[in-house]
Amino acid sequence: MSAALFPAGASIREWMVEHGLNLTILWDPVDGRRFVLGLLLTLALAGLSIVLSLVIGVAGAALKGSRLAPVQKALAAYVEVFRNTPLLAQMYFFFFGIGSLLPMVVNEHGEQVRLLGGFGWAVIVLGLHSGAFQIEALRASIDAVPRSTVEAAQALGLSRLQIFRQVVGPLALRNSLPALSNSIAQTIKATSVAFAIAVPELTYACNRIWSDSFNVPVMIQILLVTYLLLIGGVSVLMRAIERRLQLPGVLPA
Amino acid sequence: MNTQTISASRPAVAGAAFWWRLAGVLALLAVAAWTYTRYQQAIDLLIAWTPGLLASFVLNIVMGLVAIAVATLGGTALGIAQCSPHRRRATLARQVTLLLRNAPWLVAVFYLMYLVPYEVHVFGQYVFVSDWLKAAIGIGVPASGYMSEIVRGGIRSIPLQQWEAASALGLDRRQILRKVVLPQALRSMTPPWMSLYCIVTLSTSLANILGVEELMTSISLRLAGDPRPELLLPAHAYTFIVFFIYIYPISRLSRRLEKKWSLKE
Amino acid sequence: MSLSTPADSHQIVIRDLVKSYGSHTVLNGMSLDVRQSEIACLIGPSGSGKSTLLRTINALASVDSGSIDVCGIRVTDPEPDLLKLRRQVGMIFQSYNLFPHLSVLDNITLAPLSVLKEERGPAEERARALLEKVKLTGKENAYPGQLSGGQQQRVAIARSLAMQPRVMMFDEVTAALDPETVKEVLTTIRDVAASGVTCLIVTHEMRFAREIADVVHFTNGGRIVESGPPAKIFTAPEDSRTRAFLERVL
Repeated sequence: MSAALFPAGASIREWMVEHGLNLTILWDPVDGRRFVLGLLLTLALAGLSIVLSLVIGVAGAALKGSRLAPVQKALAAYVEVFRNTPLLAQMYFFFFGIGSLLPMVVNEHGEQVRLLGGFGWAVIVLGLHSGAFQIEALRASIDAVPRSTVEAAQALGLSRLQIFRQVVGPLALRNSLPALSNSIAQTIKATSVAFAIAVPELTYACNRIWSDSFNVPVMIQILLVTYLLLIGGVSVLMRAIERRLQLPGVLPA
Repeated sequence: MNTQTISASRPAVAGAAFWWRLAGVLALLAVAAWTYTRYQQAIDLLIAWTPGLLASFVLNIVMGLVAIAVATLGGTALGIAQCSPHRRRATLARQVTLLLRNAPWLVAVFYLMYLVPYEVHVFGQYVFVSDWLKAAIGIGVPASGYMSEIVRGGIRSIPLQQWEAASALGLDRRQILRKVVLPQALRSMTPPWMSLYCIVTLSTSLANILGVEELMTSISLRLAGDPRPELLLPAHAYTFIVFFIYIYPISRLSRRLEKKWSLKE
Repeated sequence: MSLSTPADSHQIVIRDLVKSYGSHTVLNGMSLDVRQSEIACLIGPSGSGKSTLLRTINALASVDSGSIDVCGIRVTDPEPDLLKLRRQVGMIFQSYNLFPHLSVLDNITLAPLSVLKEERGPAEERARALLEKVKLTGKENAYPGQLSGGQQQRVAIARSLAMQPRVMMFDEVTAALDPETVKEVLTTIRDVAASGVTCLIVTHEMRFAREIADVVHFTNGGRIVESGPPAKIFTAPEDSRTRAFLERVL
């Protein structure tokens, strides 16, 4: 909405500023860019860490069926550590603590930087943090498949791999959808903590915008509303997926 | 006549499990010894700082208590409202609950930090609202959304027959909730409530981002005054350890109670 | 207890099975012989080990000691050929255990496609023929959630028959059904038995057992107490425990 192109736009803008709606992201290119970049980074953070957490979750859920005690103990230790310590502390530990042990490299601008930057660590930490919860959730959805259904498949002569792929897997997937939806929502919320390690995601971006443009009240509302829309959108999507995968003749949970 | 034993193979030496456990303990001791020798100076320094750091952690605990108090009050009201027979009230409560549950906790803290002034004019006096109090309330507000769901679940877990019996005796809805339903629901609500307390206390670390002088800020300040690279890893591990020692027992107790009480039913 | 006759005339030979769950002994020296194409019914009080016995035959449960030979396969070997065993032996459960995420047709063709490696065309054709046999033509695309209990049980029978087993085991398959639907399932079992498949039936339906069985075995306390033709067992049981049980249920 450049004032030069839209004379009407300029007066709308004046009206908005007068009434406390100083939405610089609409007319200031710097702020606008910050906001969009922040939004995209939040989505990227959430997406990548969810993928990582699912990989960890599937591997962990499979390992949890193991009978080896050391495996069970190692899994339990991982889950307990990540669930009983603050996410922020985990971020600091990995970014400042372990990150300081990594070698320095020269990036494309000829600067000396660490091998892994804030964004990379944020993905790793969020993935590890969320993965700890995923292992429990996915294991529960596998265990929720009735033993008798598995026995019927065994009685028909199906091999263990076939049983998992054709019977347990699809049923466990349906069981896991509600918890998965919740987990995705939690991860999107958690991306805001990456603020602390200077990842320019949405919260960081809005913080900079309102620090520079002094429009805290309106920007904070925008920040909140954006997150609500993101999470709301994901919820709607997940519910649509749940409905598509629903088994005919079975009442919805 | 053939008899074959197909029992599961037992270890040849009784106590194979014992040797595994011994190996595990020795391994842990070895790691601990190595860690100490490598990071000796850092560990000694951290131990010296401990009294001050634990004093800062007390602020975390206090914030956690304030937050859970806010969450319990607000959440209980919301949860009861969600189960109200008045459709509009119930729907409104549901919307508010969903809104609170979907708000990132850091954003909620920002909200309160920026929008609540430093001083509040109450009863003709100016009351100074300190940073940590604002942060704690900021954490308590989204937590109310979680509490609302816990209360709603608790109320709905009480069978309809209880409501009907109490109604038949002449009690009104409020009395039924207070005297019949909620006391019974208390049991099933306690483990998730304890779990919420753990989450809330862990979230008090977010106040660090806004400069409140709790444990993590304390550590960062001291690190800033003594910028040795070998301090970084142990210092941040310290935060882990302190929180873990406080939270893990509560978390385990909550899970044990849940298992115990669900078996009884 | 039947006489020891040459092993090859018997399809199932079970000797002295013992199985305990912790301190509770479920099978206590269970021995049983079943001939080819024979229809054997197992009756007895709950907890006398009947269901557990069926599970051990199919290697769904392990045993502590004893031997099981089915169609020439020694099930109690440390590493039995489970695939071969389960192709010969079909099992129908009390709770049907259909796969809820697959249609009726897919339920029936899953094992033939995955285990027998049949082609889809012939497998589906056979599935439709089996559905006709159990009188459920037209339900190919229905899902288990849309069927009644009796219909689900008949699909379960068709699913097992698709593997063309030589032995079929029925574990109290009508216990969870309404009386009206019990009849349709019993009719189906009768048809299966008439086709020459060896049947081992655990049931509480005494009239059915009397009508259909070649041999009736009465179990008590984890072993077979009395065996004989149905006419004899139901009218003139020798053992006092058999008599007591029959008095209670008939």
